Amino acid sequence: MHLVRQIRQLNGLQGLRHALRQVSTAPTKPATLKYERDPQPLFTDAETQKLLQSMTQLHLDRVFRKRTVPDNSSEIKFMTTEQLELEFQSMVEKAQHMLQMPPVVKIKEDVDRIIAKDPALKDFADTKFVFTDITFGRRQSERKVVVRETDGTLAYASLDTTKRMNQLYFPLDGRQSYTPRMFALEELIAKCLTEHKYEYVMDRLLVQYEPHEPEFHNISARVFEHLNESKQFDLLRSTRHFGPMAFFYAWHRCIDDLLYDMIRRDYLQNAVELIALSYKIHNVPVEYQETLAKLDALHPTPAQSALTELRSGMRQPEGQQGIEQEIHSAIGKTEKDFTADEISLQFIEQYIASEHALKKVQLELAVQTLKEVNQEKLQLFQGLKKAHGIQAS
Amino acid sequence: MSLSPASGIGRFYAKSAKIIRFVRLGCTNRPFYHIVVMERRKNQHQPVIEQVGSYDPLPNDHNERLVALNTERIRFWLGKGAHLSTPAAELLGIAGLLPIHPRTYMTAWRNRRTAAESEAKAETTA
Amino acid sequence: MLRASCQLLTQTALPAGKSGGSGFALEFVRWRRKPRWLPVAKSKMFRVPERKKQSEEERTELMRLHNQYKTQLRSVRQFLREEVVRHEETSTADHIVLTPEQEEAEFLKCVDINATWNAKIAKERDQRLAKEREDKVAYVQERLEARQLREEERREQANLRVLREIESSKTFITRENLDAAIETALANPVDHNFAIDLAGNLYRGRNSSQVPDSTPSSNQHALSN
Repeated sequence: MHLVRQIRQLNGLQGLRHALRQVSTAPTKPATLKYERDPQPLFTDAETQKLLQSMTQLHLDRVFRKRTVPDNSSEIKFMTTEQLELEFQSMVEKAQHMLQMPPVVKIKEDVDRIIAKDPALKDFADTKFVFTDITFGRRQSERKVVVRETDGTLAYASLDTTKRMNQLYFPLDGRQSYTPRMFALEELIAKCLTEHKYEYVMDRLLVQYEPHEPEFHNISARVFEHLNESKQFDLLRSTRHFGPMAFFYAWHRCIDDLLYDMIRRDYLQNAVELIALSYKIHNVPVEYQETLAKLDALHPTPAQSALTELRSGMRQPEGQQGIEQEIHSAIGKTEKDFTADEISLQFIEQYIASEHALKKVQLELAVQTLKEVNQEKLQLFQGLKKAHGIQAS
Repeated sequence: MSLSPASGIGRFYAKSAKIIRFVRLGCTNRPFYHIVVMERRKNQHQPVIEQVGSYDPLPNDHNERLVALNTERIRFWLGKGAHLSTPAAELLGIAGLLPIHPRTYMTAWRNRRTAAESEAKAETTA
Repeated sequence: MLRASCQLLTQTALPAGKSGGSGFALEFVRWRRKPRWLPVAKSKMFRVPERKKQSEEERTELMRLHNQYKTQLRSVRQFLREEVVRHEETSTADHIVLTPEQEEAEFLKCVDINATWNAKIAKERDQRLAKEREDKVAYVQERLEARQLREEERREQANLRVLREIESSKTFITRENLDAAIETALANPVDHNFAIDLAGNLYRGRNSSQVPDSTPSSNQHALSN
C-alpha cells in the first residue's frame, strides 16, 4: 500500500515536470510551407480527386492489414462462387470508403461575433460564463457556444473554446481534451518522424484536430516535408494520407522526389498523373487530358485491379488464356502495359525537358534505367509468346 | 443519493405547477448544479421531470464557469408555463436566452461600488 | 464531531420525532442545545437585529428594473407559448386536418382494402370449411360402418349362444320328468369316492377289497377321464 502511494507520488512529480517542460518548450516549430490561398476548391474538384485516388492505389492487404485496435478478429465462412464475387465487390467498396481522403482546406480564421454589449453588467461576476447548447441531435459544427465576459459582452465563443466545449459535452472517441504530448513536445514528434511513423502521426493528427485548424496544417506540413527528405513515400501509399501528400507537393512545386520514387517503382501512370496535377494547380498550358484519357483506356481503375487481384486467388479455367496469364505473371506486364508505358514515358520526358523539373539529372537517369529494363522485358515477352505460339493481337 | 436519469423519472400531474430550478449535487465545498424541470411543490432531491442543463459554479483552468443548456427543452417548458426560480432566471438572463434579471444588475453595481470604495480606501492610506 | 460525541445529551434531549424518523447517521444540530420551547437567552433578550438599509434610489431603480423585466418576460413567454402551440400543430401526425372529400376518399380506400382483404379471407375460409366438412362426413361414415359391423358380430354371437342353450335345454330336468329323474337317480347310485396310489392307479369305491383284483390298465383309463 505504502509502496503504491509512493509510486503514485513519483508519477505525479513526473507529470509536474512534464508540464513544466511543456511550458518551457515551444509547441512544435512551425512548418515553412503554407497554403497561401484556399486550396479547397481545387482539392475537392472531381478531376483532382480522381487523380489523387488513382495515385493512392488500392492494395487490399495494405488497407485491411492488422492494426493496433482491440478487435482484429476475422471471420471464416463457406460461400458459393457468386457469393464470393459479391463479397469481393463489397470488400473493394469498403476499402475505397476507408481510403477517403481528409479534405485540404485553408485555416479557419477566428472572428469576433458579438451578440450584445451591456455596460451595466460590468463586474457582475469575477469570471466569465461559457454557455453550451446541448440540444439533442445537433451536429458539432452547428452547436452554439456563447460566452458572457465579465464586462457584460455576450459573444459567440472562439473556435478553440467551441471545440473544447464540444469535446467536453460530446466527447469524440480518441480525441483528448488537452494537447497530446506527442504534438506538444518538440522532441517527441521529432522522434516519431525520425522513426518514420508517418501514418501513425497523421492518423492521430486527424483524430485530434479538425482539418481547418492551424495545428493540423503545421504538423501535416512538417510530416510531409520530413517525408520529402527521407523519401519513404511507400509508407503512405494506399493510405488515406497519400492524396493530401501528393497535393501538398504539387502545390508547393516539389514533386520531383515523389516522381523519382514513382518512376523507380515503375508506377508510370501515377507519375503522369502527378505531373498533370501540378500542371493543373499551377495553370501550366500543357495539354495533359489527352494523355490521361489514353492511359485510362489502357489501365484498369484501382478498384478493378484490386478485384482481379482478389480473383487471382481462385482457380482459373485452363486453356489458351491460362498460358497467356502465366506469361503475364512471369513478366508482370501485358501488351497494353507496354504501350501505356511508352505513352507515359514520352509525357514524363517532356516534363523533364521543361523548366518545371528541378532534379533533371536524377530523373533522366531513372527514366533511362526503366527504359532499358522495359526493353529487356519486352524482348522476353515477345520471345515467350512466339514460343507458345500465341498470335499477336 | 443516486442520480435520476436526465430524461427524468419524476411523476407529475398535468396541471401542477412546474418550475425550472437548480438541484445541488456535488459534495461539501464543491457545489455542482443540475438545471431541472420538476413540480414546484417538491423537494429538490426528488426525482425530476427532466434535466435541461448543468451549471458548474467553480471556475475551471481557463477561468470560466461552464453552463450547459438544453435550449430547445427550456423553450418548450417555458412555453408550457413553467415557472423559473430566481437563480435559474439569472443564469438564463446571463446566457442571453431571456432578458437580464434585475438582480444581476444589482450585484453588478454593488460589486462595482465595493471595488471603487476599496480603491479609494487604498488611495487614502497610501 | 464534538456534538456527535455527546451521546448522553442526544439520548435524553432528542426525541425520535425530532430526528426526522430515519435514525441512522442523520442528526439535527439545530435543536441539540436548545429546545424550541425554552425562552430567549438573557443575553440576547434585548438585542435588536440590525436591518440592512436599502437606499431610496436603489429601491426605485430595482422597482423600475423589475417592472421592465416582468413586462419583457411576459412577452417572451407569450412568444414561447405560441411557438409551442405552432410546433404541436405542425409536427405531430395527429394534427393533420383533412377536407371532407379527402376524408371520404380515405374512407373509401380503407373500405376497398377491407373488402379485398375480406374476400381473400372468405375464400380461404370456404376452402377450409369444405375440407373440414368432407373430413367429418368421411369420419361419420367410417364410424357408422364400424358400428354396423360391430352389431352384426354381436348378433351372431347371441345367436350362437341361443343355439347352444337350446341344445343343452334338452337334458334339463323339468316338473314333468322330475319323478323319472329321481327314480333314475335312485336306481343308479353313483359313488365318486376313489383312491390313487403312487403309480397313479385309480381305485373306485370306499372299500379296498377290489384293489388286488382290479387291473391297472382299466383303472388308468378311469383316471384319464
